[in-house]
Amino acid sequence: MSPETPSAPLLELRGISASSGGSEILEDVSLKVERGDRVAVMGPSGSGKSTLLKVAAGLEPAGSGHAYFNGRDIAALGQREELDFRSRAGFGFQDGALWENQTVLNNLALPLRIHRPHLTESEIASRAVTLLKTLGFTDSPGVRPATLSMGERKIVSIARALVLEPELVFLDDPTGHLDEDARDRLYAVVDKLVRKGVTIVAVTNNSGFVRRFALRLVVVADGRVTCDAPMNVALAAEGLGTAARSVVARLKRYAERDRLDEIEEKR
Amino acid sequence: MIERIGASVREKASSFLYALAFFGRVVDRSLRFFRRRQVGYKVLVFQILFTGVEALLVNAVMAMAIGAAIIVIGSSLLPQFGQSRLMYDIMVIVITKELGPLLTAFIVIARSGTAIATELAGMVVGHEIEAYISVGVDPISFLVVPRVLGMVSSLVLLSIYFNLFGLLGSFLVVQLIKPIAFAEYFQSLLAALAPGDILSGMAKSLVFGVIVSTVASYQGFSVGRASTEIPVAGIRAVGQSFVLCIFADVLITLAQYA
Repeated sequence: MSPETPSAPLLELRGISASSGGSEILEDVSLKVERGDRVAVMGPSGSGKSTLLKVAAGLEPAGSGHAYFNGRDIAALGQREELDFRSRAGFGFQDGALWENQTVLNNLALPLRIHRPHLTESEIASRAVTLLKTLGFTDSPGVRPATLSMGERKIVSIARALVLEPELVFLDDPTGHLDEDARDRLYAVVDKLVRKGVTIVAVTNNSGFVRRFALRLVVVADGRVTCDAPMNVALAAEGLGTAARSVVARLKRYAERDRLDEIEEKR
Repeated sequence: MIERIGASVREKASSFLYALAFFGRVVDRSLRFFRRRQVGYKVLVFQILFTGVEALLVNAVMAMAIGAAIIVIGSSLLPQFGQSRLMYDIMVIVITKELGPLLTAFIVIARSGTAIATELAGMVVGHEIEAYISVGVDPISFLVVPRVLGMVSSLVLLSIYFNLFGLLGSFLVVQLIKPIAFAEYFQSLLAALAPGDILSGMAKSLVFGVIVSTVASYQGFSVGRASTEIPVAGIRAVGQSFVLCIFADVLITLAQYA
């Protein structure tokens, strides 16, 4: 087992390229994510954001380059190391990716059964149900995913990503399909993660989520990282590419609207 | 032209190597299945239930019909050549060694092979496989191995059932056409039956089980992202399973008689 490197970034991508069906999706992407960092990956649709997240989480193979977790190459992890990595990194999928042949409860219970074998079935159920309730899942946990709305599926997927209380959370479009109430509950849960110092890498184009949580902005366009900077630096940056300029302008507009709303509320 | 042929050969060689590696991993994980704390036992039980138990009726009906047909044809044709005594030998050879394992495999291909391929393909398209990996579940250990073990054991059991219904059940059918005393029928059958015949049939079933389950799982995992690829995976699984089972049947038979 290769040792962890304490000084290494929690997550690092080096020269990642990925392709599908002959077309290049990611080209020479490098990125470092430190402990406690909260990174928002933004960019136009089809720019490779989700692929970047999946490669970083070791869910999709990179054509070339490497992804490292705590200094260890994710693609070269042994069986035990991989289990350790999976228990420390959760992934919330864009479309839910729930296991259709299992109940909602089992969707959350399976990771607990594998990684927390000391827990009894009632403790597992209790943890799962508590987390689902915190995220505002009001349906019975005994139902199958097929009966859920897209928003509910998203909530269950995020709950599954968080059920092991990971130190690194990947979120693919976490606010997609969520109504205002569900979004507020998600924000409250992410607030708790932030207080615990959990590292978050989120692919999103939701300016509200980004302004509230992100410390760093990464913009991906045409498979390349065109902006990677702390949020305040990115917002003040000059000479950005088209995609990054558009993202920054949107975030600024959102911030301005927020500021005006606050002034309005004070009056 | 030459470039195209070269690319096609490279692609074929690469998918063949990938299939070999997939098979190797399935074998490796299967050997470890019972040694480790598993969450896949439930999948194994469901697979045996679906492939073995639910296919019993169609298997039994087919076995009885084939057994009866052999008796009817044999009892009218063989006496013309003075070879009536060969009827039971033919029946044993056809049912236990040849048609039994092969027809059982065909039933299983049609029912469970397509089911496994399309179910796994649906899981790939719906990103469920990625979700399993994301929580540390090895899809081969959790999804493929229980299906392979379930299908292999079901096929061997179904093959035994085929023998029972084909050899004994057909007796009932024959009573309607040409009554024979049970003692005479049973003794003649026992005299013709050698343990090697039964073992040979079971060995074939075992090989067919490995082929069908591995091919179906492999095809299920081979899809990309489009839902239109799901039925294609099912069709490919059926076609390849049929061909490989017949090929394996010929090889095993040749090894026995050559």
